[in-house]
Amino acid sequence: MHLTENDSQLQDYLDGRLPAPEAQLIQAHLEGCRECRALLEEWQKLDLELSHHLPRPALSPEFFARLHDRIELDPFARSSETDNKRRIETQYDAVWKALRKNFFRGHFPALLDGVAYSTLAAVGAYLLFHLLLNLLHAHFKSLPLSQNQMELGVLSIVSLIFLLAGFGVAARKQLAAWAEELSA
Amino acid sequence: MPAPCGDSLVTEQPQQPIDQNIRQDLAAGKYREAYERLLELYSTKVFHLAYSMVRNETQAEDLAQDILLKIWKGLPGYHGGAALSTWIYAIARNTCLTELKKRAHRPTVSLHEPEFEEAMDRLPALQSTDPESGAGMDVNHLLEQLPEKYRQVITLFYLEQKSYEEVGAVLGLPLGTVKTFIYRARKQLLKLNHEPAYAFTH
Repeated sequence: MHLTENDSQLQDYLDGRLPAPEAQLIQAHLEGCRECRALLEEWQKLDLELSHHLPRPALSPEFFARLHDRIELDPFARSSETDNKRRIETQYDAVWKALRKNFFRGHFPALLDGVAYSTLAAVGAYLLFHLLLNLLHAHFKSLPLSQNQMELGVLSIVSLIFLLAGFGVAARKQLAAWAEELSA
Repeated sequence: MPAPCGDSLVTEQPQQPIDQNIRQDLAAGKYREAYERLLELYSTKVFHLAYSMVRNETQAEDLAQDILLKIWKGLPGYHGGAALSTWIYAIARNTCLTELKKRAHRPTVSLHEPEFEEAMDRLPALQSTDPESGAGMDVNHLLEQLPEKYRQVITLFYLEQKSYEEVGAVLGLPLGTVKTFIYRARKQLLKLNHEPAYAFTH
């Protein structure tokens, strides 16, 4: 069983990866075969040369300090586990913003947005107004108020609710805009 | 004589429980702890991979920094779909390949220009007659003649304590391919060595 006939077996033998029985067979053959011994010696010599003379690069001592510095500089990096929730929230916000930008803005230009919102508000106000009026009629039948006074009162309550809601939405938008400005 | 029977599996096993620890830390949202453990295990391997690709210690270190920074940023996105090592090495390889591509687009002055090498050969100080010091230089010179993929595999093989499994994991190659590449690389090196210009033995 000449080693030359099966070179990959030679490599397995050289790297110590042959199962014991096969390795023993080869060893026995090597005792008596000069040709194979010479071949193996050549491979061993190359292996030694490569083991000893290839460069052995090592990380410089300041490698990890430098890496940690870079991590601290990275805006995301301050997210230790406590900050992680905020990080996920920002990611959700970004997704939501992108969705809104691509979906709504694509189909409804800003003007249509406004029309849609005000229609919603009008319908909501109308329904709320009648709901409140009916409730008042049902519960306070003996109120010393005329129908007109009652309607006026309910109308002002409904307007107040919508005024506050509108103000809230606007304030939230403004806050978001400021936050974006700050983070930019 | 080399010891028969493969003991290479032994190098693979101790990694598993540590990978498990890292996964647990990640699941608990302890990114710092997970990252520190990961650095301990993988920074040298990532550095070796980068070195085998760019063959320059300083550049390899810079690349290793970029890779590990990417891994830090990507940690919350790692959901344990693939093995941790597979994920890390994939990021590492992609970063190296991107860098190499970038470099191909803006060629810099290389020390391997033929004129430069000729000039170096003529310098008397580098033509050492001492076989010991000469031997080391020549192995590296021989390596320069190899095709890129063989050179990379053989460089990594000797950096990773001659473990086929490790080389396969780092490069994302099947074990059989790694063995074949190393075998062909060695054979070519021996052939090149027989050409008198590169001989390293006397």
